[in-house]
Amino acid sequence: MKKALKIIGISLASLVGLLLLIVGIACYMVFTPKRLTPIVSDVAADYLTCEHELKEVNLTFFRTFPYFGVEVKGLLVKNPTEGAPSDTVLYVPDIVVGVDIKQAIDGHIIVKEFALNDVEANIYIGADGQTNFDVLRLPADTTEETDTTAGSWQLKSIKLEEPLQVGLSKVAFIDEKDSLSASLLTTRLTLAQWRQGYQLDLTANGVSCRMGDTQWADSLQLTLSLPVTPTDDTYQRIQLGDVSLAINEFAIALTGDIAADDWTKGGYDCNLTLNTNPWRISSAIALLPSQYQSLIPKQIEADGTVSLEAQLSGRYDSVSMPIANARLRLTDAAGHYDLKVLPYNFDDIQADIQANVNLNDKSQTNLTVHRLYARTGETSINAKGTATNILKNSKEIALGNPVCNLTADLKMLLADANYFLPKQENTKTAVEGTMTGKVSVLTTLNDITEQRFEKVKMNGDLTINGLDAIYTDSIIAKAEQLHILFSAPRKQQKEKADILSADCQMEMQTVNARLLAQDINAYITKGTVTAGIELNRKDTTQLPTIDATLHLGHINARMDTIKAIADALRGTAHIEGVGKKKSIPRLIASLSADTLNAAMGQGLKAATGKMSIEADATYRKEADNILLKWNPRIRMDLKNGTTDIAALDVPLDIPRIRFNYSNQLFTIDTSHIVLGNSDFSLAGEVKQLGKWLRKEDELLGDLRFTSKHTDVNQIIELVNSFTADNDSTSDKTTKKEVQTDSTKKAEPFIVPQRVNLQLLTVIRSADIFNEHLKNVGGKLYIQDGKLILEEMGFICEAAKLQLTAMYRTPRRNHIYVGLDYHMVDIDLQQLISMIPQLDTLVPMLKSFRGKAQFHIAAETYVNEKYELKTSTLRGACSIEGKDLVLIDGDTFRKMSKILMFSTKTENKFDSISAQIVAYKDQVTVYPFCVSIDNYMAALGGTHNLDMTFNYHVSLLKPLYIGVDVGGSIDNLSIKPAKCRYAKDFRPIIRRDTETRSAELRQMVSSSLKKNLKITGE
Amino acid sequence: MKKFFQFATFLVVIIIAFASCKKDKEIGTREQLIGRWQSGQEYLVFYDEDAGDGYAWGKEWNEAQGVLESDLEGEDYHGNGWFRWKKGDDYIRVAAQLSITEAEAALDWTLNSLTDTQMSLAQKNKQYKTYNKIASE
Repeated sequence: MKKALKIIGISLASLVGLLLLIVGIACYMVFTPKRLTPIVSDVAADYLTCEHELKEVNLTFFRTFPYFGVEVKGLLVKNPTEGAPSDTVLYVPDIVVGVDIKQAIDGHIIVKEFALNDVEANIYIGADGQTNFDVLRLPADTTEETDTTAGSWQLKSIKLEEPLQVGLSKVAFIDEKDSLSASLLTTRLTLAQWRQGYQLDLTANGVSCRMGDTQWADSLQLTLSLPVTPTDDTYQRIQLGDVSLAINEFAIALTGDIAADDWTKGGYDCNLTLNTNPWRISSAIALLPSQYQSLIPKQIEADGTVSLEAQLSGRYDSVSMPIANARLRLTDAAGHYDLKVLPYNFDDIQADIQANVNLNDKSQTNLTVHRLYARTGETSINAKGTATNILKNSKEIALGNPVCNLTADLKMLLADANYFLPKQENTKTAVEGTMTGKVSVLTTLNDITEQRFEKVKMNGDLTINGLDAIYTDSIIAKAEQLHILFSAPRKQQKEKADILSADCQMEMQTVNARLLAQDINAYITKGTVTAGIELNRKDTTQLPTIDATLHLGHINARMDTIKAIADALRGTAHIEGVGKKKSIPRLIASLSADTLNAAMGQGLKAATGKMSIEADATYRKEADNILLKWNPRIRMDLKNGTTDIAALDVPLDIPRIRFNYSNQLFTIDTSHIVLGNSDFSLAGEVKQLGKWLRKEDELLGDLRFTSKHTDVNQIIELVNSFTADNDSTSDKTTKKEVQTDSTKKAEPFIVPQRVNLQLLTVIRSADIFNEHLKNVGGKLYIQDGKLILEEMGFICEAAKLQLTAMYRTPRRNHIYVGLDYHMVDIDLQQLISMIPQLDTLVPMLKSFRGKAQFHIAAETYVNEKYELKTSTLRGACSIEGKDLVLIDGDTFRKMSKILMFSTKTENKFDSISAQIVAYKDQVTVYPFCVSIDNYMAALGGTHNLDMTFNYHVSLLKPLYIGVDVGGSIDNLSIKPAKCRYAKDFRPIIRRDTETRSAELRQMVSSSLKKNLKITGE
Repeated sequence: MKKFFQFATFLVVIIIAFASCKKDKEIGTREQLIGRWQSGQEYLVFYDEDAGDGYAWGKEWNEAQGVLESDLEGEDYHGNGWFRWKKGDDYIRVAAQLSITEAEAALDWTLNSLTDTQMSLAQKNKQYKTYNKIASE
């Protein structure tokens, strides 16, 4: 058996050896290169129009076993063309093709080997369109013949037993016409058939491409692995395996399948998935053409990795496009900046963005930001959201008006914002603390690009912790926690073109704000500020409209020595622009508090119960007075106000004040003030304040001043003690200050012009000196530059009284003061007690007791220091009494001795009627007659303001004796004299000169009583 | 004794005669008063304008105390330096009506002498001042 097998083996080996010998002889001896090469060169010459060269053409069997193959070496095609970098168009050192010829005749191409190695090619298109590769010469009818031939031979299948291999060592393509050049180095392309599919592999090195001045690729490495597998024999659907394409390190993987009814007619159904490996941004940027790289500022360094995952599904044909779903992920990215506008580096940037592209219904194209995160230091932003309506619903692919809905979580170290705060030299402006929260934005791209910011919807919920801010060393604000809510536009805002609006609410636990320059310090606890803002973004002359409300649980504020504490402080403010241009500011505000305590140093403390203020003010730039500038309307209501003023020994309480103020009408509804034992109420109206300030009309007013009780003595004491306090304070001032004060010009009270004010006074009771007055009533006028106290009537225990007084200021240095004073049924002792100066003018008055009428009218001008201008002093006085009693006294005793009066303890007069005139610096007491006991005497004389006098007393009954009383109080001179007034009062022989005094007395007396409204009992 | 009674009778007759013949001496005339008078910085003006009851209007001011004639304007003859006046034999009766009321400060100024150009006048007791007429109103 072994021998048989041995024989069979030897026989077969011999046969194979023989066959190989025959093939070898045929290849190397019959079809030698020397014989084949000229034949092929001749054929090539028929087809090539340029210089060409074939080094060797050889049949091969062993290399392409079991099929015959052809090996061509040294194929060189030359076509010198002007401008081309080389004459060589193509150089192929080695070509091997092995095909099963028998099967090929039947239409089945079975390729054993197809290899091109180290191919060099130079393809050139000149600027004039001339090329170097147009070297083939084809017969004009070749196509038809071929078609005829094709009718007999038909390609039925292609099979690659070995991969097709193309090796390129250098390929250059230059198109000067289109300014395009490209080149490849060391490129290998293989196409292999694997089971039912094909595998295309491409590896290209040194890939370069330049278009115009743009170097799109420079020495890139390109790798492609393309496995293609038909799912059936019809090739209507092919499956792409793990397709991978890599440019340098940037790899793209593709899987899926593509189907087509007829690959040549278009119409493909795709279901593809694409993935990239993480791409480093810095490397990717380096791939960009240099001019695009230069667009990125050198100060910016961006790095990180980006990857893409995408699905493509659907049909691609002339009417439809597959739907693409792509997801871009950015991880570990960082941006380093050296920019003045952005001094921060972002160390951690991450993004996860998904895009759904539907070109069939472009409105369905959208973008979803799953995560967009960036962090710099302690500050980070984490956003997510969607963008819809990205593409226009049109035939062309065009950007639509994307609707973006983004929500961002913020975590911010406020110190990171310091860079953006306005700076001032040599001052500190900084903010510290943290801010966390959420901000949402809903907008369209067009609204942003066309700056229709009023359509952008925003809202936020932010919390600031540990706020510590300082602004130019002048404002300091500290807050433990602030909670800020905002939304834009305003909720109830009708959409108006160009009007930006926002609602904002800020809640605070504790806030400490300080204005250093003004020495203002405020602590606020549990406060809420709500504000709505509207702003015309285009018209900067229009003022913003602001609606704000303020709720403060507690505020403790201090300014210098002024302190204020308020509980449950509530306020509202509305600021808007009015007028045609809406550029005139208008403020509507209200403020109320349950309690308000204020103090000014140790000198003044004040507290209120519930209080409220409402104000409406419109600013007028052209006005020069603050009331005209703001034209305010103010309504104030204050209850249970109390004060503690150190300079006052008694409390000053304000139980109620309620008033409405406007420049047109100032109405005091009610006011009640309690000062020690006194209480006051003021009510009424003041009109036309605005017109008066504009000098268009006079100021009108009608006020009512009422008091249940007024303790004038206490008020005078308070004023005196207040003045004394001030004086003692001024004593402590430095000499310099005293000198300054002494040089200060006196400022008298100037009665305003064009003022017509009336104050009706009703005081039920008043204590003044030792008197208790009742029903004090009268009018106080300010009219035509005059301050008039008109017919102020009142009743005291001693008398009924009426007072009219006037104060005018025609000139600063020429001030009028006048009074008209009447007392009926006045006790003379009370009269002197009430008006002690009368004792000086009429010294004998204090010698009488009993009821009298007292009338006095006097006026004078004073200078700006209120010093009397004696040349203008005019006065008239009348004292009339009945049943008076003479009181014993030193002067009377002296006179009695001379006049031999009896020394009874009580001497009754029938009547007394004395008239006194003051003119310039002299007071004249016209002679008047008194009856005492059995005596009758007449008195008269003059009295000077220097307190010297010259009186005469004439005894008229029972005999005529006279006494002159002269000198001064300190140097009294009493001398017997001629009975001077005998003829006046006992007109036995009356002469003209003696009746003159009587006439004057009558003139004075009657004129004084003309204005008397009160009457005796 | 007879001589004594004769002398006494003579004396009484003489006294009665003198007394009955005695007449107050009138100093100057009203017309002489009318005009503008000056004494230092003090001014007096007597108008002829009727002020009722036989009185005429007049005014005075003292520039030494910062009072100007213009200060009297618009005063409607009341207050300040305005007065009513009428001339007596040797005096001028003056009634200054106050602004604030209808009360009048009435008094007599004593004339010592009065000519067309000069006047000696006492507004106070026996304190005469000489005024020179500076204009006739």
